Amino acid sequence: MSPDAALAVCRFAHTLPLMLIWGASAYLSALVTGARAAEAWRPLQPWAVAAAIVAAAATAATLPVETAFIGNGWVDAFNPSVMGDVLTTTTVGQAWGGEAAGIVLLLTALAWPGRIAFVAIAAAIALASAALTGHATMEDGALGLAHRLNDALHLLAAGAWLGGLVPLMLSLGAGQTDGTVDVLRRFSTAGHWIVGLVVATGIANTWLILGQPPADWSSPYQLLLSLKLALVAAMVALALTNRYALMPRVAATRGMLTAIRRGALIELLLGAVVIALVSVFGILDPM
Amino acid sequence: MHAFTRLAAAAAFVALGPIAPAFAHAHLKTSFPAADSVQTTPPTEIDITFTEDVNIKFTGATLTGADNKAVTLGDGMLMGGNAMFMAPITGTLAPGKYTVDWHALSTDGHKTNGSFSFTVQ
Repeated sequence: MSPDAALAVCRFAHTLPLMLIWGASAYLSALVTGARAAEAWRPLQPWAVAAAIVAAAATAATLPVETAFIGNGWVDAFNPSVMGDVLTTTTVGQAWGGEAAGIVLLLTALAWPGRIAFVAIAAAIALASAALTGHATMEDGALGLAHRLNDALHLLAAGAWLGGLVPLMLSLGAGQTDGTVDVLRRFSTAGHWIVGLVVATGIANTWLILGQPPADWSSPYQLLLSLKLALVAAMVALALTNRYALMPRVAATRGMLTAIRRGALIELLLGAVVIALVSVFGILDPM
Repeated sequence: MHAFTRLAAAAAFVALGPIAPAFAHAHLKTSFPAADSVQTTPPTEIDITFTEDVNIKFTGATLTGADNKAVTLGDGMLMGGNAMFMAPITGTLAPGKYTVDWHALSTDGHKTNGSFSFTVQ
């Protein structure tokens, strides 16, 4: 495997678990009250720990992989002087420090059972730290800083969308109760804003990097970005179908809940493919 | 969502419209000797100006003659900000065709490489 491919794998194994932990815990702490949130988190806790361990392993692997990628291939992966240069003189090295600190914070939060909001904050820091620390150098100026903040916001909004689907599906799986329609309505109200934020920050990001829509499909970056946009459009269509076609009929029609769950599951799987695409094209040349 | 998205997108485009797009990858902008140029006096250095600031630790160039023989270059350095790479040529280049293979790491961690040729008369 080339260092480039290994780096893409690390990026995926770092981002997706953190997004799911962040989104699930943020959803429960923001939209579900007190005891019910703790109850809903309980079955998710071991999965969150497992996901955090995957993200931690990916972060640990990222440093030698990044060293091989920036240096002269695998021979440099554990070369202390090259690794030192990567850590101290490159922004990706500095970003790695932020990522590692975020992961340690998240593992600490997960060891503190019952503090879902703490888990959400720690996961948000772990997820966004790379975007914030990696490029926030002063020479980039105000525009550079705005780009990084936009990046961080995009990651957090996308994570809130994907991760929020997990506790939603679990609560729908418990069957229809008096609270079901209420749960769906709260999720979809927040969902409108979050999806809007994903789209707006995504457009801003593309504008900052390309300065135009990704129309040149001879560039692998732009081709994969276009594919990503098509998948996101499909996810938005699924979300809108769930919200405006299926949800109004939940109370009256049997089987509607199952259909909504299936839609949410497909959304989640498409989201995982989107993260995989970004993990690959994010290290390619945009032009 | 539609109103919000449209508003946010419009705000983003208005705010960001006038600025030059930022490329994370360092591409070759100009070089001395220029690509495919013919030099009447042998150059004593290789200059490469990139579209982005580069990291000197992971940026460099090699010079090869027509007979595939490597020409020794002195230690590379950055000049005039961090976007121009300079490496001195030790010794005098004999007439012939030369190729510069360069690699660069932009300050935000993206790698690029390329090559160009010039001729010494």
